[in-house]
Amino acid sequence: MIYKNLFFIILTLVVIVVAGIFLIRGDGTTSGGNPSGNAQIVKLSVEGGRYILSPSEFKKNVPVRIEADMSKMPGCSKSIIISAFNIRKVVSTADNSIEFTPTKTGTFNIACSMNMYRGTFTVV
Amino acid sequence: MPFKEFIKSLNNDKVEGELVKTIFVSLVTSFAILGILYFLMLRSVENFIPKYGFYLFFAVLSYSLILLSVRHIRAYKEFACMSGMMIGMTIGMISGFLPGFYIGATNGMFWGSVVGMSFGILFGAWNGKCCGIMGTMEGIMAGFMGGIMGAMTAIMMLNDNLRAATAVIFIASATILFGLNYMIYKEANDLGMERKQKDSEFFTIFWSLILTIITIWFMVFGPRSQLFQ
Repeated sequence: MIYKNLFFIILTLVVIVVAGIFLIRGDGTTSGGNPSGNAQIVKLSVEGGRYILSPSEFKKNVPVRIEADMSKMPGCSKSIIISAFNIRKVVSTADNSIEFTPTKTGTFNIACSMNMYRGTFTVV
Repeated sequence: MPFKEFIKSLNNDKVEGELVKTIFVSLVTSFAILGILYFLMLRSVENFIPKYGFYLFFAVLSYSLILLSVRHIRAYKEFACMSGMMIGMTIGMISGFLPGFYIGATNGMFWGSVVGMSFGILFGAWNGKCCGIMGTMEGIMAGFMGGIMGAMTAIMMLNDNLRAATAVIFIASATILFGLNYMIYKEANDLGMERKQKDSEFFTIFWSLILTIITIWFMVFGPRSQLFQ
């Protein structure tokens, strides 16, 4: 009687473990990487509540290194998200750069994690 | 000790004895539909598992616990005013907060809030009505608040250990739901309440399918805020 549900408890745990092994893989995001000597250098700052990238046009398949001007990055603008390229990173004075390689063309959004500061850049 | 009796009751022949089986049926149903959809269409979605797998896993676990509590409540159908309000508030809050959190983490605050509020208000009002209009109101308010709060919490934690927070929030919510089930057992036991409704496993299967499919659709194909485009 006490162990009436033992069978279901064991099966439930097995289902959870198997599904967990299958579903919990990777985090789907990066914080940049692959620094390169011939990277496109881009300056990032905030003006009037918007992200300003200079230049705002990147070349496809050429690594990009975004360097944030920390004197012009207030509040949550330091927490940067570029969803199109799975970038999430909090920049600081100790590490103010984001590196990634744009692999598709188009106009993409850059935003703070609260979606308050926004901007766009183009990959050609 | 009532708590020890509650643990023992999970093996009895009453509704409490069916709760473990309800979790199992819900999990199997949800993971089965997720597996079928994955092999039919979702595996062609870029980065499906790394992007959505983690949140879908916790969403399925959450729905199994919510449906377990709903089934427990429906078995007794009517409660005293204070208990009914607590039931409406707890179910509304948890069933609003968790979907709001998971969808907020993948689609943004607006759609996370909309889905969270919809689930929270639906389940809160439905279960809160076990004590009349006060419980229903309590459920609607808790669902409304929980849905927005869940999505907002996810957005605020995007760059701050979101995945760890997901696990912590799930554990806290599971503990609260366990407490609710204990309260229902104690209330029913103290007042000598009899079971009034016996739901079949079809109830669990139906709601698990509905909740899981809506969640998958929203996460993968649903509209999303500019932050996630």
